[in-house]
Amino acid sequence: MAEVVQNLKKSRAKRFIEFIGSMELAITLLAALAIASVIGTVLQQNQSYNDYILKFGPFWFEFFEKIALYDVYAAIWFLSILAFLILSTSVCVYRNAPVFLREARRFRTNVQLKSLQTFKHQQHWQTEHSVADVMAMGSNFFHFLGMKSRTSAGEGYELIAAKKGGINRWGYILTHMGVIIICVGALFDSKIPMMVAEWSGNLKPETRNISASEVPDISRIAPSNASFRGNVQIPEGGKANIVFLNIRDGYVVQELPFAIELKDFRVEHYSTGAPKSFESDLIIHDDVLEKPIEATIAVNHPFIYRGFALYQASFADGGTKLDLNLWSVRDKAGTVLNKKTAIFDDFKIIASNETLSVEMNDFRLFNINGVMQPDGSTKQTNIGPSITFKLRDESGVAKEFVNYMVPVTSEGVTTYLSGVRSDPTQPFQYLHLPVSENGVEQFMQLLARLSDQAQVEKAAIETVSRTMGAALLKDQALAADISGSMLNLVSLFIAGGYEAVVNDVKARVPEDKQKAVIETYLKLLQSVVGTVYETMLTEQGHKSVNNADWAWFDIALQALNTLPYYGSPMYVELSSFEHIQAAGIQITKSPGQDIVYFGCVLLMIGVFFLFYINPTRYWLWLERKDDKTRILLAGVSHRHTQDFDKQFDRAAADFEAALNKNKR
Amino acid sequence: MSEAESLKFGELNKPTLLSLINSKDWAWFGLLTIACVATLTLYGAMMDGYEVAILIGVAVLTAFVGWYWKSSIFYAVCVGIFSLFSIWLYGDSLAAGEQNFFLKFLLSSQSAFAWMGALFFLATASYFLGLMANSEFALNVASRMTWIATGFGFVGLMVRWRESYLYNPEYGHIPVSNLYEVFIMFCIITGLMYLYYEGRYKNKNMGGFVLLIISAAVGFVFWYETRGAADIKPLVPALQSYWMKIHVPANFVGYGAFAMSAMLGVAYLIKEKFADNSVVKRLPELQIIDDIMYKAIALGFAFFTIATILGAMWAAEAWGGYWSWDPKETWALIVWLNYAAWLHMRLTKGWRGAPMAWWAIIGLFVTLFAFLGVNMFLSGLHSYGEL
Ligand code: HEM
Repeated sequence: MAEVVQNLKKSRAKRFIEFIGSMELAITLLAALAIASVIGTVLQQNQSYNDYILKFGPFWFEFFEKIALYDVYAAIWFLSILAFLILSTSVCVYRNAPVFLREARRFRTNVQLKSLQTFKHQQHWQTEHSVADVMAMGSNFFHFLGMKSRTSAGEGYELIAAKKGGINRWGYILTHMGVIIICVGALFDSKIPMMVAEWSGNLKPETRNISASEVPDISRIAPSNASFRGNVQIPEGGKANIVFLNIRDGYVVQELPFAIELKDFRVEHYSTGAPKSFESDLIIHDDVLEKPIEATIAVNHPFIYRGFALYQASFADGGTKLDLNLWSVRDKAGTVLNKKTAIFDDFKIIASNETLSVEMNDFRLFNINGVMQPDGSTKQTNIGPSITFKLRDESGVAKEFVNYMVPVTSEGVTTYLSGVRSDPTQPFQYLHLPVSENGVEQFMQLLARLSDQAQVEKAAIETVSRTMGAALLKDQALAADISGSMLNLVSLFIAGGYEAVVNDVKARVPEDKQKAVIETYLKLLQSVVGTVYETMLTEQGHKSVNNADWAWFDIALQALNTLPYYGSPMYVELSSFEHIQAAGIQITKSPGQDIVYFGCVLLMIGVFFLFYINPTRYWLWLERKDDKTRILLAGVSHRHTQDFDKQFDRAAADFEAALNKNKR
Repeated sequence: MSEAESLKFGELNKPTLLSLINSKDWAWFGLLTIACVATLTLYGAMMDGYEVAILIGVAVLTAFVGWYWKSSIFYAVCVGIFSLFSIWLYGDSLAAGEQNFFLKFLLSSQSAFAWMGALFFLATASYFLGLMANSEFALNVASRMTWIATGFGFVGLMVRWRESYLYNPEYGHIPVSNLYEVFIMFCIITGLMYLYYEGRYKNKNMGGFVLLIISAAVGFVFWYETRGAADIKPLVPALQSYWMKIHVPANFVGYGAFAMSAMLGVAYLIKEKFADNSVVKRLPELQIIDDIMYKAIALGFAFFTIATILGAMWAAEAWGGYWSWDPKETWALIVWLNYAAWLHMRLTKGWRGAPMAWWAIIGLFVTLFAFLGVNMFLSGLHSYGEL
């Protein structure tokens, strides 16, 4: 009884092993792996969790998070599939390899005539030669075919069994060992140790945006960690002895046993302005070194130090120092304030009783844009340095600005560009400020004059006397009335552009007269503003106002028209800067890499053995009957059967030719 | 002399390796050696170790292919001569491309690609005509045209290589760096692979099917040209690596072979479904189609394995890890797993025929996504949006 139970148990275990090593399971796992990989590519991995919430809504966001779809390749279920695949393949190799090798070594001399006669490839002859002679000839024949052979004899027959290409079976072992070794090697480089540390509560990713030195110990990993892949940004002249490893929506700090200093970062450009190379000069400081090592890394040219590989991964601004002019365009319009700051710094300004915070986000030395040429084509042109900053109001709502330092010429007009948007997914809308010899100052002066009541009144009176004759102005009341309404017109325009003027007319004038009134008003407005401008030029010492001045004025009018919608109480002019860059360095330690490569070599060799070495077997069966030797040549190959048809026919013909040649 | 002695088989001259190499092969090896030595003496000073290794590797590979597949020798010689001729015509100035008659109408890369495309279209039509009308002549013409088309394509790529340097010495690079160039390579490789099997199996009736996918690729190339894809652009830093020179071509042997196997799958299914149709009867036997399909997948799989491994090695150098689950990488793995499963079913379960043909066709869509879809729909490290 006990024995029966034992047997049953055994067979159940055996069946389980068989299942694990079965082709069905292997193919299912391969399919599962493929599907999981598809998910991982279609759903962009390791994005910020906010993006996912926006994309999927809170319900699906949470659901997808539960099944770890944001980092599929580190998900438990994904790793389980991989583990099962390794297990399944190992069992397969464990079970098959000995059988395959034994099979490959054997000559199959115990074959039966009956089974040879069922072969697709066979040929018969009869000859006068003795069995011994044909046996000798047969051995030579197989040698000629490059095959190994064994002879044997049975009741009334003699047999040669030959084979070649047994190494094909090694192909099976090499490919599958290769796959297993690759997976094992990859295991060494995986995030598993970190995941274990997290489960056991020894590690907790940090999600706050704090400086590395403030990160608590629970979110730090000691330098002894065997395998990781992380990034750190180092500004020029700065030093780092840590890297950040991203985990889901947080990060941990990996400490390094040495420090890296960035001496210099360089971007070289092609003549189109496209980047040609990114290089960083590094200095490595390590207590075990007598003096620091210097090394230069570039894309495709990492530097390996003590098993740590240092890569040029990205670049960013490293806190470029900025010298800004803040031109007020609302209260006290046209006045300027100088401000020294740097990228990543914040400062506050007070405008219209509101405190706004200015956050300097980014600086770019080059901006390669397609700029329209006079002939209509676009040409890639560098439009110079730019700064990006945000203006945040007290309620936390921010507008983003991008200001260019160098004027841009487009469609024959040269202006300073300042882009603005309130939604980061939308393109920038641009304000164009006209350029003169003194930069934006001329425009700001004009703006200041237009905001100055006395200046506008003076211009209004001058305009009226020029257009309607000075006599009209003798009437004091009328003069006051006219200048008052012109003043109103200008202040409407400065506060709300042409649109404000038009709306004002629409609110006050009957509909049938609106068009005419609007036309008159706009003309009036332009002449008043023009007069202010002329006055300014005269006071600046210009003798006459020429066409170029009026072209400038046209742009200025357009700028004044859009300025009310610009959304900022100031225009930020970048007057000078000291460029400081930062290099994004990726540092990895992957002890499994060489194991993986070894597995790859096995895999490659194995695949070629499997496909291009064709295992074949031949048998030569000899019988003496009626004073004749009966010969049966049979062959088999379980690969490349089409090719083997030809091979066998040729072999049989060669054999027959030899027989005939030796005919008595 | 004893009888046994006289029965010795040795008299039939057991072939040695040397006896398998005839005088033509020796001439071929000699020519390649001379070409190599000449290149090294003229330009050796400008080449680094990797480039020398790649040069010698290519020479050895070409020698081996020529020895194994005799027709390729003539092809390679022609490609060599025409490439050198056009490069000579160009001299030091790209302007020659507009002034010189041969360059302008035949051999500048753009003209050569146009010829390649046109000939592939004509060859496709001609193959089908030959099959329908049972015309040996049409089939022979089609086969010639395919040879010439692949020749034009190859010469075009070689010339484009030179043109990139003439255009701007800073931009110069081997033309396997963007989708446009690799599509042309795909056409050439698939065409050559087909021609090899056509010669081996002495049957031209399945040509139309294979050329259909090449024609589709040519159609894409022509459309892509209208969007400025043919412009020579400098290499982004991530692509400035000798790995590119071997990783990309190895991949395309894989893609080409998989595409061919899918088209043979179509031929197989048609042959099986309309077995009695007199036109269909002329297609090769089902077993032969099945056999070529298997061989193409085996070849593709072997090269795809190498290409993926090379890709991993490149990634280890450029991205800081041999495997990053980048979409392109991951899709290469999916393609690989798909064909691994295909091969397992055939070799261990003995599956043959229609199911395998269907699977090969589905495989083409998987491959196509890895090859094109990833670039179009997914973003990752391979798209080089930024650094
Ligand atoms: C990670 C999973 C696996 C991979 C990537 C893999 C890969 C390969 C490759 C590349 C080949 C050579 C092509 C071919 O002949 O089919 C092959 C063959 C083979 N594999 Fe797998 N394999 C895997 C798992 C398995 C498992 C679990 C088994 C056990 C049932 C298995 C059994 C075989 C057999 C029997 C052959 C054919 C050997 C021959 O007939 O010569 N494989 N495999």
